[in-house]
Amino acid sequence: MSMGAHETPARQDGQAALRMTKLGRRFGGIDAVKDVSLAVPKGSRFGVIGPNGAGKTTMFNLLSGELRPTSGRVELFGRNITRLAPNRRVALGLGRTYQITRVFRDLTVLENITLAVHGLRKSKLSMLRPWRSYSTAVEEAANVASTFGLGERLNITAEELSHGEVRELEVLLTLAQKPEVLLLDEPAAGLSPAERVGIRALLRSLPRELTLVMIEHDMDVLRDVVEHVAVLHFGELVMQGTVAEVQEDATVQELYLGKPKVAES
Amino acid sequence: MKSPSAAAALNQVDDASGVIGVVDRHRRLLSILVGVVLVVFAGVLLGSGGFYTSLVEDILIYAIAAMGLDFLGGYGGLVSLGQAGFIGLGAYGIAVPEAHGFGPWTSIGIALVVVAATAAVTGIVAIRVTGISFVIITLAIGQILWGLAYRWVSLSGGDNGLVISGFPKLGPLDLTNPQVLAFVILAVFVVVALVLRTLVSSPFGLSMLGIRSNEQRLRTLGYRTGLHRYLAYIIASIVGGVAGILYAFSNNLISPTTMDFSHNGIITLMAVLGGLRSLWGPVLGALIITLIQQELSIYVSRWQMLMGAVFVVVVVFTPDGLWGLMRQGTAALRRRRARAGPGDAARPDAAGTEAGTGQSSATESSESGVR
Repeated sequence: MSMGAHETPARQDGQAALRMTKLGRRFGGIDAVKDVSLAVPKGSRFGVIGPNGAGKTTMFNLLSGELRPTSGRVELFGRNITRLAPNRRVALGLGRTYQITRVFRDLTVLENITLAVHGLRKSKLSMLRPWRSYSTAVEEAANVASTFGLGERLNITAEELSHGEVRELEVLLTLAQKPEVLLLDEPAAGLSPAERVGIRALLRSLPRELTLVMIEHDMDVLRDVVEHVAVLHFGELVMQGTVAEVQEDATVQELYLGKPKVAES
Repeated sequence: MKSPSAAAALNQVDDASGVIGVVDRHRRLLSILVGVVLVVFAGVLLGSGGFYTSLVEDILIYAIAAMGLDFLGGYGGLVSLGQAGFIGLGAYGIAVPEAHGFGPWTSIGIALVVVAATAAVTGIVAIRVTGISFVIITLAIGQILWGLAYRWVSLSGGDNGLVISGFPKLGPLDLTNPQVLAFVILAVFVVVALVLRTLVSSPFGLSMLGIRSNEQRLRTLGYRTGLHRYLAYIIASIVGGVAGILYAFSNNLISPTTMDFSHNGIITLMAVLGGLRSLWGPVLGALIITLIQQELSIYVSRWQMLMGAVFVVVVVFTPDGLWGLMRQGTAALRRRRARAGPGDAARPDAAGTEAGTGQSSATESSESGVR
């Protein structure tokens, strides 16, 4: 037993921020996700690509707990979270965003982010004083907003924001909780080229120690942000490697990259 | 680096909302003023004794129940059709122990415990669902409570109901005196209103708004939304029970009619007609509907039909109720005044350039954070 060497499997187990083992989910007779085994090392930046219907978002739902897998397991920093409720996973440092933005549309930006800030604290249940009087939480929320350019929009309801700003707010809601592992579901979906600049800047500015798994079709965004890419097709993991490796892979090109990417976004 | 820019941003928001902010501050003052005037007016009527005393008492009691319902329905998006059931439960909670020889204070304690316990048990079922299913389940709970009052004759006196015989007394606070009772009801109303006001502005209240807006997202932000809905349901039910306790002492009689289907509907109507998601709305609704009930029923035998028509009109044309309509009206006025007002400071974009220095420093810092 080579306990000392840092390349031993046991050691790698400890290093993986997120580990999927033979993860699967069936809907009726269809395997939306099938036997996916993937280890995401701590601090790494992972991209997940694949044609529409490849099971990317389903995989995210299994990771965040919104769906229960029909087989396999999920570990977060070595801890089995396969059957844990979504809010418990969030408390363990797993945050996610959604492809279809889910912000609190009729609440203001400040209210949105304040909800996120209170989310992991006991104070979310306190009833005795106004939430605006929790100055540390409110300041923290305002800080998060201003770091990423929504600082001047604090008192505007989410439905009055532009599409790009809503996407930023979506990411900020999750970032406000300081996750250790962040799952991003197409953060740049539906954005104009100009709006993409903002979200790319936001993604690049994320703290280095954050582990990031991102579903994205836009190769420019991917190249910008991630190092490794996993390719899903019909629910199965086809290959993984660096961005360059994946881009050069013939099977992948045939599957996915061969098609004009305009059609994907 | 981050915190000064955030502070600038916060200040800037104050700047940007300059005119509106001032009006808002005045509105708060205005609403406090309206509240005080109403309370004084109610106090005068209550002090006069006779018919108007009991009318105002009814309005206040139903306003309490409707505010509780609004907390759950307006803020949490969970509209209940069972609130009259908890009024009845609170009232029977007084009447039954008194009939068994308990004193009035003990009975109040028993009533509160029974209401809280019933809410805690029924809540387990009720919070499993949201939306229209929640309406139906609360309706069922209300009907079960009504059924118990109607059929459990040995305990509830059945159709005849029970007479409340004992009234609490604490030094000069003697509820056998109708005027003292009237002012106690007014005081409880004010306390409940203040408590609910604190609740809706608390982090818990904010979480209720979040549940109404997007419960699934709130869950993924770490909230056990079921727990929040459960607590809100219990709070709303206890508020209903408090209204019921007051009802018992105000009416001296509790019978199943108080908690029948139409009464459940009327309390929901009060909250919706007056306007959900504001605590004044249900008070306004309780005032209007109680008066209509009182006055209209003298001239029109089928006053409920008219009530129904009014309800449909309100729901179709102003989903936020009458209070919402008044707000919209004042907002439109405010906008018009702001547009006609002197200088460009009223326009948000102009305010933005005014606070331009703060703005640019904020963007600068966010850009430097990016690189």
